[in-house]
Amino acid sequence: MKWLIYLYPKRWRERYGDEFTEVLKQMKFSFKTVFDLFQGVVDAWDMELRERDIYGYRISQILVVVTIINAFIVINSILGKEGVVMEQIASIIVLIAMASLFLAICTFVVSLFKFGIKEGFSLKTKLTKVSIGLMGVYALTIGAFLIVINY
Amino acid sequence: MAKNKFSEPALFILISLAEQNRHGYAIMEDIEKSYDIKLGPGTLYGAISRLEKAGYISAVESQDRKKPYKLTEEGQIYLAEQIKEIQKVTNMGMKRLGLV
Repeated sequence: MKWLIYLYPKRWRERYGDEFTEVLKQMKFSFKTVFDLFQGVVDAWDMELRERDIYGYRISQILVVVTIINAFIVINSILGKEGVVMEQIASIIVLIAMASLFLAICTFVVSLFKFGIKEGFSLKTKLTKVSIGLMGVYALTIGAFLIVINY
Repeated sequence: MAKNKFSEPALFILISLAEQNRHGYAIMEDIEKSYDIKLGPGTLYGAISRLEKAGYISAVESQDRKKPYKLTEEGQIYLAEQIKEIQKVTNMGMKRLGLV
């Protein structure tokens, strides 16, 4: 169960990590405890995101970096680099795309459960914003993938 | 500071610390013993971090990895207010049920 602590935000781990690990050591494994820990992870991330005012910038920075990487891959593909390498790159970007889509759906579902349907769809919650950011990563990577495999 | 409405686990933690300083696991044990409610570690530390941020509890300096927590003065005032609120609700319920 101890590995679950790595799902918590870094700042939270630095503050409570040691004592939390001590508590976990004294507990018996049960699915109820694991479920409670996952709830704790969502709660801790929610608190963390509420406190990060610059989070909107961070998502946009991630999108810029992903766009640059994708543009680089697409240019290489158009310029006709070696086939095997491009196939490997295509496999990696499709994995990134799928992981982004999965995370986007998870964050969106968590947001809907946590804040309700009306607020979850309203784009006011940070979890929904994160979900949209991840959707953006998905769209960019899947776009790059389609270009790479078609060249 | 805005008076947040805390969840039930947070109140149990405050009541546990009103008796004596306790570390995380000891709080869990006390809550289980007193109310027969088993708090999970995720719920416990979620509530602890909220209470600490609100300034109602604070960690006591310790060499041990298990940090004990204590109730702050603000925490005592908040807990007293909450108990009075709960008492009002209980009294009203008892009255309307004809139990008093």
